[in-house]
Amino acid sequence: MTKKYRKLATAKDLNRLMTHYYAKSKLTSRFQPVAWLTSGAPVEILTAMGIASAYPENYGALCGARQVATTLCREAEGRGYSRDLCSYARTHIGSVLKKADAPLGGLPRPDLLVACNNICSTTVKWYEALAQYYQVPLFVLDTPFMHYSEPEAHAIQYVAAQLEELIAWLRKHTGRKLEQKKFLETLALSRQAVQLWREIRELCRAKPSPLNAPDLFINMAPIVVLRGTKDAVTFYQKLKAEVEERVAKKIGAIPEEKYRLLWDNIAIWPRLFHLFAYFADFGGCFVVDTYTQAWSADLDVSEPIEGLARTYTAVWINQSLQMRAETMVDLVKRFDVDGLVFHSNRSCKPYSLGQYDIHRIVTERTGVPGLIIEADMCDSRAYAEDPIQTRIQTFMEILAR
Amino acid sequence: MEPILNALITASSLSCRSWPERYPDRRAIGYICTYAPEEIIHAAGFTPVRLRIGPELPTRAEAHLPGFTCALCRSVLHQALRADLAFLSGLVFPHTCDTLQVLADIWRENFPDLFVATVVQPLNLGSPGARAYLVAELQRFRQDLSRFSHHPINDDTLKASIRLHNETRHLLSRLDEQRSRLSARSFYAAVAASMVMPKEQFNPLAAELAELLNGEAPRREGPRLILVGSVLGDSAVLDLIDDLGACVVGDDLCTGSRYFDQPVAEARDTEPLEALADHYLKRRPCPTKHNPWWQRSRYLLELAEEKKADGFVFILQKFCDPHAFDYALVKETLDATGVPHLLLELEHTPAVGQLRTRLEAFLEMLTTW
Ligand code: SF4
Ligand code: SF4
Repeated sequence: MTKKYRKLATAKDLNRLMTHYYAKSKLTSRFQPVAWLTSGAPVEILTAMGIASAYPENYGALCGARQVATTLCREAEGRGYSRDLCSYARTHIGSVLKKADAPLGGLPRPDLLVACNNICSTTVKWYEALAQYYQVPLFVLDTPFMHYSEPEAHAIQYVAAQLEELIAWLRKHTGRKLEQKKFLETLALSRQAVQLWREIRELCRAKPSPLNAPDLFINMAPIVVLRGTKDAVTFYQKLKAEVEERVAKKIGAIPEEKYRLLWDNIAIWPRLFHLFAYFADFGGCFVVDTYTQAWSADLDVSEPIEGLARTYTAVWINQSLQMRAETMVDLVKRFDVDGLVFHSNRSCKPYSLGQYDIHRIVTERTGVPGLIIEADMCDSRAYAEDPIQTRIQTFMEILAR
Repeated sequence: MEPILNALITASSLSCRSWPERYPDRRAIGYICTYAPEEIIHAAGFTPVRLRIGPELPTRAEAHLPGFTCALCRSVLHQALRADLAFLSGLVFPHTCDTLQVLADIWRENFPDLFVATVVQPLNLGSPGARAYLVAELQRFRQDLSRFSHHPINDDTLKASIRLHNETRHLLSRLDEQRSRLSARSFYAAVAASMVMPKEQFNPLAAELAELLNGEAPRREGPRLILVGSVLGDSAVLDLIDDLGACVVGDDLCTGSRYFDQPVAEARDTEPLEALADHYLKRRPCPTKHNPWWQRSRYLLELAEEKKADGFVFILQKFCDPHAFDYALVKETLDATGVPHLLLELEHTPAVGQLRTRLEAFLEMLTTW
């Protein structure tokens, strides 16, 4: 497996950064208010106000990668949470209910909760459960779904008004103010990190691709949990330099890139390396994916609140199936993709339910074939090894023809 | 009374395919969830028709939706793909759950000639900005619809539609008070009929039924149940409840009281769109909405007290996230207060034998409790 996976030198930096992040969040929770946020929440506002943030979804992914998610899921199921619910939610709720089983001792206790439905409505129910459990205030930021290619003007106004409300709400509960200067600095840092991330992903248009999907999945953590900080910028600068070097020297992410693949949906965390190594056996490298590009939209900082409202409303899974298909057609062309792999993720309905139609549209328009694998991002009970391998094998044979 | 009941039961259980024969002079617009602004649809000259789970296995939907999609969404898509819904001039998707959100896009993609409207209702009912947003969204819908129908929707027609729909709500509330004189099957058939029949035809029937019920004696008393959940699929569960001698004394269902127990304001000087917006913001929310001042568990406990209920039966569709989450939240409180409750999770074709066993055991527990 190690043969097929060329490790990045910056992996060490990533490790250090994330360990530090989790350790620090424990420490700071003693003298700084802690908010738990959804991955699509406007963290820049909280960071600028000096409120520490923790991410239950990222924590769910971490538990998934460490193979402990299923145990935690069972914990939540025992309390009445259906096994059909999102496994990030079940995993995290399990870690709350049974701290003893929670890696890193769980997340630091929240003082506040901020949920944004731009990724799904699950987050709202999940955070309602957390608010009930911890008896702490919850703010729900509602970003109307975009069935059309442009957000409606009244929707942007509505979101912008809620952002103002969020600022007042945070102030009321923490006594902290949002200083304009600090806010703009944070936004600039966020924008810089997002831009670096976008550039790194673009470098994968090179042949062979310098990165494979597992690299993207692992390295996206800072863009989720540390955007708006200097640390994230420094890390992505370093990563970018290394990726550029790979491109210059024509070093591929896998030893022999024969097929350039696109991955749609969240990773299958418990099988991350295993699954992608299997594709690599056939010379399949995932040069692009739709999940990690969810954090690459530009931010208009000239009108910070309206800019945030637009950016956070227009995130990937808050866009219509038609727009997502459009973007994928574009990715196929620009990254010279030979095959599409869709993870039909039982956990995530907004991401997974439109995939059959998206597959049809993208294949019709590009001629590139696709494969759908049904599994789950964390719950290993939903992963059927043999049938999945057989399907992959058949698919790779089709590509070889 | 029998003829009226039969008429309602027939109307409620007929397949959508026969709709155009029954109401030949009507044009229909379909919808799936109670957040669809029926009044606006009606004011544009259409009959709003609620789509429901059909009897056939939703095989045709398999090409578009994975197996972990609720039976309601799979079934309505199936019905559309086999042209059972060809009589519809259009469809309206209000924004509620993630599944319906995707379904709207799938519909647009696969029925490009159909009028498919999305009304993105706010989720955060506590936000001060939600009202202005919703009024604008309803206004956009009204424009889209009147452009499509070449039928201007003026405030007076809209007010008349609100009156008509309030009349339906009022009549259903009257029947709700007379539940003890009706079987569960008949009561929910009346509610279902009100969602598929033109209201102008439903209202007189319902009024007559309510009159006749006044003279009826209450049915035999059995354990008193409150039903909680989203949509009732076919009548299997209701038939079981009737069969086992239990009575439904109240509910918190999308195909029950959440549909009718709160009217839209009719004051002469309120703008009808604003009245509708206020209605959606203030009505008892379903689990897809966030209302910081609302707690379903508290509401349910009050309802149980008011109705002198013995227990709750949760009727959930499998793969329905918002209701499943809410169940876990409510369960905790119910467990703490000791109120008995039973969870029935339905798939497309419920396993009736198993449902019977579980219901029976639950009812037995209630009577010995
Ligand atoms: S449902 Fe999907 S978007 Fe929502 S928390 Fe779960 S994985 Fe994330
Ligand atoms: S709320 Fe539940 S039952 Fe209703 S459409 Fe959504 S998932 Fe299906």
